Amino acid sequence: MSGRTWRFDLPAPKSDAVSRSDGPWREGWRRLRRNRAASIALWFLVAFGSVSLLAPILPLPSPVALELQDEPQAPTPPWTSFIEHGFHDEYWQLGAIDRALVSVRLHVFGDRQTAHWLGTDSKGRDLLSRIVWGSRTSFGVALMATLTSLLIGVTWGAFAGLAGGRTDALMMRLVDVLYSLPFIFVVIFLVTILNGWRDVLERRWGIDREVLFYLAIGAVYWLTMARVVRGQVLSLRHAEFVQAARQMGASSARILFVHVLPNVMSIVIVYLTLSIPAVMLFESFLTFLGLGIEAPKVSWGSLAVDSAEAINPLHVDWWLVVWPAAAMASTLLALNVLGDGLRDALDPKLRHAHRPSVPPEIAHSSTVRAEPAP
Amino acid sequence: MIRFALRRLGWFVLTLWAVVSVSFVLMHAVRGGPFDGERALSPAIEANLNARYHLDWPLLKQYAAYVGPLELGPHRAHFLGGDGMRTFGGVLAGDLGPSFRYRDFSVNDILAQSLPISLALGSVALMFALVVGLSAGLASALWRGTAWDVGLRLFATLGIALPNFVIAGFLVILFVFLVPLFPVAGYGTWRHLVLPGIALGLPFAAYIARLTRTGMLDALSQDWIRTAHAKGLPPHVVVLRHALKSGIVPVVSYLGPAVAGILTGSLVIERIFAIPGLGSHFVNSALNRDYTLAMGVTILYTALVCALNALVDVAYTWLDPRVRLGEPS
Amino acid sequence: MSVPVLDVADLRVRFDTERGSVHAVDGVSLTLDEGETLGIVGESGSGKSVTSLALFGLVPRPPGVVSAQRARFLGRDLFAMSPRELRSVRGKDMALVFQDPQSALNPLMTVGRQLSEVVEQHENGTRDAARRRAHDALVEVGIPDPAARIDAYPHEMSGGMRQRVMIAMALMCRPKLLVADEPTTALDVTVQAQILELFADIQRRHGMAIVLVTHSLGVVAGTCNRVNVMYAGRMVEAASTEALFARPLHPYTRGLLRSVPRIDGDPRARLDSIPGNPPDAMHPDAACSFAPRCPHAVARCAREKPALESIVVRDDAQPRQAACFFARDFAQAAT
Repeated sequence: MSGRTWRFDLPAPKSDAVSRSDGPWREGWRRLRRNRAASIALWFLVAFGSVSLLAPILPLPSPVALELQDEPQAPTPPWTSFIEHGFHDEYWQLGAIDRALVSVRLHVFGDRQTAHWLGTDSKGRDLLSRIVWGSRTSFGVALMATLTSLLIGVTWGAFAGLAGGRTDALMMRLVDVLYSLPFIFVVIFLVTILNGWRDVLERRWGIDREVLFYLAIGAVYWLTMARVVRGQVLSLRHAEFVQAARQMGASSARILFVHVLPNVMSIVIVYLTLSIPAVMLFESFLTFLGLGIEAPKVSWGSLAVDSAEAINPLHVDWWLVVWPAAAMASTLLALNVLGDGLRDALDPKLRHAHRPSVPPEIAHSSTVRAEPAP
Repeated sequence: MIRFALRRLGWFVLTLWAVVSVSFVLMHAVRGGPFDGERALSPAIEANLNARYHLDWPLLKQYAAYVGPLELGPHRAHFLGGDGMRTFGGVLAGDLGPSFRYRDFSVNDILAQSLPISLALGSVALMFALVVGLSAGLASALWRGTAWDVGLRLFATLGIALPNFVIAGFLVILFVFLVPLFPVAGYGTWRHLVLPGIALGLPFAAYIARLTRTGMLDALSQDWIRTAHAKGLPPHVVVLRHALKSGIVPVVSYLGPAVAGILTGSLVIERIFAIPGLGSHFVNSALNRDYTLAMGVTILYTALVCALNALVDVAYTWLDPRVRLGEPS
Repeated sequence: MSVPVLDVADLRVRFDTERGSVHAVDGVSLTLDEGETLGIVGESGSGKSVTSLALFGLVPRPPGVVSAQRARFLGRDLFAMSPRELRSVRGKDMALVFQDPQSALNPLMTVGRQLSEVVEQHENGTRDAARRRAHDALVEVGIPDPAARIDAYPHEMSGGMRQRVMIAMALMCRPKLLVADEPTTALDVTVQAQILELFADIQRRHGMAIVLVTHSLGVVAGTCNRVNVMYAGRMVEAASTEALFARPLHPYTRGLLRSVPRIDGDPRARLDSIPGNPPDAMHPDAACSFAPRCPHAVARCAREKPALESIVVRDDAQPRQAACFFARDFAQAAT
């Protein structure tokens, strides 16, 4: 009886069962790729991120150059006017790399710039350019703040989880107490207070407002991360493979770095993706209150402030509301979708949190996916 | 039950104490006094003001006076080295002191005036979030996989992703300028609360919709739902009597954070719609270094959030008999 | 002869998933008379639970697709009923007892409420009357202190107690047919025996027909009049319990019986197991699905699917069936 006659095995090696040997990351990547929404979100973010990163060498108008006009200019679609002359080399204080990129841009494109495809704001500044440059600021703030919270949260959570016992209880109780604070108030306090010491901080430590911002937001967002990491570490500590490693005489450091942290990574990445949009929202929130990014630098928060101001009874400059909102919504949407997709892909436990509505006997062969848990 | 209440109270007091202390320290760490903004204050006047608000006292004593129910009458005040002037009763006695900015008002007066406004706004937002979120989530779960579901989920994700002041902008364009239904700003009638309430509640409605959908799908996939069908119960009874209770458990546990978030969000919304609530007072007071007012608002918010969290916990045990009060889940 | 309680022919259940169709039940036929107990035996994945769900219209559609040549309950066509009609039968005239009482009872509702709502749904009457019925049902299934237990939540009861509640729930409206899907699998052995005794007791008193779905031949031996053996969604053998145990005609049944320890056997003898695993139900072949694990398989088994055929064995009173090319040989060899 040859294998050709008997076809009881699975057909093509496309299934979960076959790819299991590839390791969790590849497996996760494959699952992510299968998730259409998450893949689209990923590509969108990659495209948008590249534009954002390359903003200085793109032929965009200056985000700050004022054109003396009385009122904002409506969008001129690219098909009516694509490129125009009149670029002003005006920016806020740029870093060395960005400065160099801008000089490349000047070399290549001269004073040519894109026409005001998305219109201009009330001071005649090009909206498209402001959105792109603003995304750099907002992404930067969000990334730095999230990394700060990551650093604090992972350290705190891992330490609590590894220490266990009374230390763990105490550390987590503290997190509980902090959780019940209306934390935004503390951030506002922090920012106002640190504002008072700004000149000193800037002179002596080179810490400007944006850095304060990262720190303040990071100080808020680490709590969730600490809880999550601590939970993971705690369950891993008692996991059989960690026990086995301990039995074989592996050192604590080895257990931490080889066995525990890699397993915590996936859930950390998921929370990272989900907290970046939250931080971006927070940035716009604080900027709206006048505590965030300051002019002339532009962020999505300041664009949102402009758009809120653009609404007045006399005439509504719709483009000032619609375009920034569209940019913000699509990016945050993409980040949220990607985060959910990553969670589904990387965390098999959460993936099976919701059982498929198929009898258990055949559940193994169906591909009913779990819903993104909030 | 009593043990639960006592423990809860203990944590509540501890949390409040932490808030009072931390915000006290933070506020006093601010460089510059509360009267810096006013120009042409002669040193004499400033010293006078400082004395009036006891800003010339040592920090620890200011702290004690702020927290403690010390009725600083002439004798004890003298004993503590003060000038014998009566100070306010202290947080423990429910007196949050005088406002530095609005000199004719105590913090209690200001809070008493603005809290009802903020509560009204918050309630409108919360009701909106619950009604819209629950029904959207329910619809989404029951019509899973249909165009309705996809649309509602997209809408929910959008609601989560957009800052509430952008939503406010859209609402104003729509319902003030295009279809003039509501006033643009201000406070007075119920119509003033509609737009701010929606703008404030929408992100939470979106999140609640998501939670409800997941919770309902989870509940509907349970074996006991199959049992309910096997009993011959009609679908609406299965959903409403059996699945709903379990499906909204995640929503109930989200209520605490949601209320906190709505209170926080009102900082911005009150500003946009010029509503004289707690939020606008807080931002102004923090920017103006009106210590006592800012701390008063913070303490009030903390108390509100703690109380609501306790309520949520009670609701939780009512929903799920397996959960016992006072036991960590 | 009266109308059989249950008369099903060629029941098929298919699940259409993204990766293809799973044929969970592939041509199952059952008949059952009043007062009779039918066992359906098979290992997990053999489609026995899906069979019982399909009879109650509880297979989720989509992805499930259910069809049958005939599916009559007391002469009424189950699959021609409107949803409303089906609901009026479900829980009233035919009741289902699930495998795991832990997950099959609503954890957020008191036991009494879960019982009384069955009566409230199917019969007119007050809530109080329904509650009294719930109390009586708890008494009938032997729950101690029913007056207190009626307001308990499922998590406050033991596993055996919960299963008794499940049974009480099924009995609320005096059904003509009781389908019990692995009613003892989740329970301790001693409790298992009590529950099986309860089933027998109830049947003696009410005379209903019982379908007992199980993977355990031991359960079947003590309780059932007749047995259907299922493998990979198909019926491979049907016979009276006595005849089946005395003379299994399908190699799968033979294997199953050999893997059960016997009290009267040689204590040192090794238990046999059936080598290999059940096939993937996604790819029904034009072959006998048991062939890869069958010690008797020949080339023909790989090309042709053996049909379920009636086989006459001389000293058996009742007709029996088996789906194996060699069933006749086994029957012959035995006599």
